[in-house]
Amino acid sequence: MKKQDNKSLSSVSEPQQVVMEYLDALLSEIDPEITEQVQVPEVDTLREAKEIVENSDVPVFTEGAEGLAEDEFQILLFDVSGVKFAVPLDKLNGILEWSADISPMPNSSDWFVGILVEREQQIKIIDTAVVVVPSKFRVEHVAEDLQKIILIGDSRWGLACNAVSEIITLKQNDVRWRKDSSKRPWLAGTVIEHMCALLDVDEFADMLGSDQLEPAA
Amino acid sequence: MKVWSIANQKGGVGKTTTTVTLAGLLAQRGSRCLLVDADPHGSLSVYLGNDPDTQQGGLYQLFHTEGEFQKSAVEEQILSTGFENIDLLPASTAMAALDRQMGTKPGMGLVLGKALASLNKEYDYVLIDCPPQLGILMVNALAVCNQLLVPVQTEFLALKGLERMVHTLQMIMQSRNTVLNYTVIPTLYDRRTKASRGALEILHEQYQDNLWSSVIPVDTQFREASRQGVPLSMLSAKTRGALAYKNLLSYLLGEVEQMTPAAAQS
Repeated sequence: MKKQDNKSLSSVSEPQQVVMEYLDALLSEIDPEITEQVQVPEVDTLREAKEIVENSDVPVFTEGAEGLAEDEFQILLFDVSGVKFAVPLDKLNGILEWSADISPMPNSSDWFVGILVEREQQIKIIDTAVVVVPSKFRVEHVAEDLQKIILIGDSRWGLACNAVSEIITLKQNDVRWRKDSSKRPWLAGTVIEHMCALLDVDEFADMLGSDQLEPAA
Repeated sequence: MKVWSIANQKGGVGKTTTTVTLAGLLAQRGSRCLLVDADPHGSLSVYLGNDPDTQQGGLYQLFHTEGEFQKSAVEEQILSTGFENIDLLPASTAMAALDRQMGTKPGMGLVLGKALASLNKEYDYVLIDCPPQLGILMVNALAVCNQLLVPVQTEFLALKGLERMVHTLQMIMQSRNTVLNYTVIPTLYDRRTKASRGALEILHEQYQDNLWSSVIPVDTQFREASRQGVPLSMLSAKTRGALAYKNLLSYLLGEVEQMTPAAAQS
């Protein structure tokens, strides 16, 4: 009889990913018009963004922006409360290590962690999980679980996350672009192959700046 | 039109009984119901006097329809059951080959939704009896429904099937970027047995937010109703099984509040 060991437990997520890819394929609604409307980032912008990233505390990057085809762009994957998200590199202003110097604000919303002063700039730190992960799926986290801060919106906003993983290059049609953005304006689309939600960073920053931000239901 | 899918990734938990009995009750209230047999075994079709082995078309045909669904083409696949307000989109044994035929062809999980959309004004309720395994038919049923009903036999082994079902549902919701309500329905409850009481206790502990707080008891009249091919509520409305489903329907329609666990088990 085959003995079950700890090694076999580590492969549990793989079948789940297979099932998820299966479901995504069956449930995909492809809309070519929307795909065509998406702006392709300039290669130079990507290179510039990558330099910003490399100068911060990001772990290893394996791919460069050089040599990208016209319909390609790069995204950074990160984890929030057990869910994988991504930001386009050209919208990323940097990544910081989690800091004990974040000052909480009294009477602030659930999603607002506090303010961090970095290079004389005030960064508002957001509990990303509260904003984007529905409470049903949210894994309760403690402060120690938050490891990194993703800077967006001209570094005015910092998205708290559990881990930053890697940069990958995508083609436009690797993304299932969102048709209806009224419900979750921050969601640009999903990347089926990597099972992650791609953030619309501009919308997200606008949403954070508005007074109408509500925790994800 | 409301669409309820009745599913559990374990067989023999009361899916078909739940589908037929709720349909009988809804029909008696005057609601127009369409029953969809999405299980290649075709238990629901057999219950209502149809043979899946000889059935041509039915649900299977919809997966081989090209282009937009025309209402008339969908209606062609629907059978009258002989019961007022209850129609059937029957199963055929050929449905067992659908997964192999369709593979992971994009969009094939949305076929039933598109077909049913053409019948929006024809029915008040659509009840889908799902197969006990994850595949193209279950994905279609979960993608189209407004409410998922998960009958769970009150015995320990059945709880694992429930866990798997909820996990599947979560993945579908993630894929669809949507949230779907589900209701766990304890079935085949026999309060004389320790196994039933124990399983119900676990359901209350683990699925408190989604659990219908009452139970469907074991009742030999269900067997009799299926033998005669009649929804139990139409055969014998005063049996405890029929009354339990009546209470369940009232709960699903928002007509009554949840009972307390203690009251439910008394």
